[in-house]
Amino acid sequence: MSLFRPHPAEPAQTLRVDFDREAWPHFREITRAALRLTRRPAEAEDLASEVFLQAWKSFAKFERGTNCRAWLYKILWNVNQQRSRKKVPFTLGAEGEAQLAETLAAEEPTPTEIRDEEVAAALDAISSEHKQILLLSDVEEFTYKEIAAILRVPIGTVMSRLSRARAALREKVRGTAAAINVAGPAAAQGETP
Amino acid sequence: MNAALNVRDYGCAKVRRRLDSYLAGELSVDLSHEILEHLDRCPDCRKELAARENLRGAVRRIAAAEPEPREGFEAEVRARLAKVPAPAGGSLTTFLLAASLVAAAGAGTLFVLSRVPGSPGANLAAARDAKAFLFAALNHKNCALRFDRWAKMAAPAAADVGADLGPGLTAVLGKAAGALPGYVPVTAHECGHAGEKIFHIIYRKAGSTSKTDLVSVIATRPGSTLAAHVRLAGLVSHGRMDGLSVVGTTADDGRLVFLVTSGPDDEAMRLGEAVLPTLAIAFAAP
Repeated sequence: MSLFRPHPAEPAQTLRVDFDREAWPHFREITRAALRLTRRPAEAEDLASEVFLQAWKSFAKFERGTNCRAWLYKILWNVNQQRSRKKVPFTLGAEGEAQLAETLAAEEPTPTEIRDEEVAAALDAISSEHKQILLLSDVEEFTYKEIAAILRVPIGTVMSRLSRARAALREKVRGTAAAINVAGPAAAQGETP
Repeated sequence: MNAALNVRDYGCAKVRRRLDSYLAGELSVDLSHEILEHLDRCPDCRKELAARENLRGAVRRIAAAEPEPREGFEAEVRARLAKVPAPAGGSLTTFLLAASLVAAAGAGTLFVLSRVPGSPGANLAAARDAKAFLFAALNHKNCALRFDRWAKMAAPAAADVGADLGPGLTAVLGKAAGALPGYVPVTAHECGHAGEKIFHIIYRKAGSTSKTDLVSVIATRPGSTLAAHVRLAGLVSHGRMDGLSVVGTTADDGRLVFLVTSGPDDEAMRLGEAVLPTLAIAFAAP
């Protein structure tokens, strides 16, 4: 049973008011999320503008009372995906999947002494697909169900993709930590020996 | 395997495969408690959990350190959108009350809401409230009601209750211990599920050995995900749920504090009035 019904003649002004109330409070967050996706301020602004333009154009279809934040992320994801396809498509490939499966099977403990810079480097080193799903879960704090709706994939795919993403991040962090141990803390901090 | 508790043990490998879902709050309450029980016994997995929490914290800090949008950017986009005509076609408007509330409450559960949603934003708030109340009820069910020991054990000495809590929680417990007339605290500990750590006091009606006479007081941490999204003005009742009555409030320091009982709503409200205001203030006290 649908809990929503069409409202045939809602004035444009009402739509503006509703859009102000539902969508605009998320503008800063969406812009920052766009920056995390693109890494380039100008590109992030372009992406965020496009998201809000598309959101406004399709706002009549938005079911009031549902999660507008998740709806905006869905648009953000779609627009970003469309743009990314024009660049380099991400494919992990069978070999990559097999490598990660092995990583998952024989995983070592996560390092306890890690610095934010090391984690930032590790985040930049994993694939964009893994990074994006990690951000949706750990930073934006969407549930698996919400992530599945945003990415338009089954919830099982979300779980397996997140699992691989976390394993990949831990692997990169371990690599960074190991490199620091070899090079010594002074080198890791960028100090002159 | 802990024979005394007769709980199913999870091996380290199984626990570690589920640790991230546990931290994300995506595991069932039963599974979360089984993991918590394993963590109680396994220092290596506790260390791994701490390391993964640390890693998640670092990811969040990195994201939080991203620069804010350029000043004036929002105004520019607003101005651009103002020139775009309103979308054509019929809009959709809310017809019934929060579907999300029902989804959050779980099948077969209908909450009596203290605040009736009248707008989409209120619907979302109500759904979050319901989720928080459900969280409290499930903790009572899976910790207080799950084990026989709380109802059957001889009443411990007051000094033994919460013996391993830090000084802050011990001070709070001191204020809560005598606040419930006719009830004695049998344990105070930190447990939780869905990635949320809670401070849990279990009271038992004096002289009773029945599980239905157990009462839980459950407090989240102030910065928890639940507490960040839910604010309860005064003492709020959510009625019966799976045979349990739940009342709650937001403490002065922002954390959520609930009382759960197998008794009827009015008893829950009466007990809640006796203890929750005291705790609401006690948590914020230095």
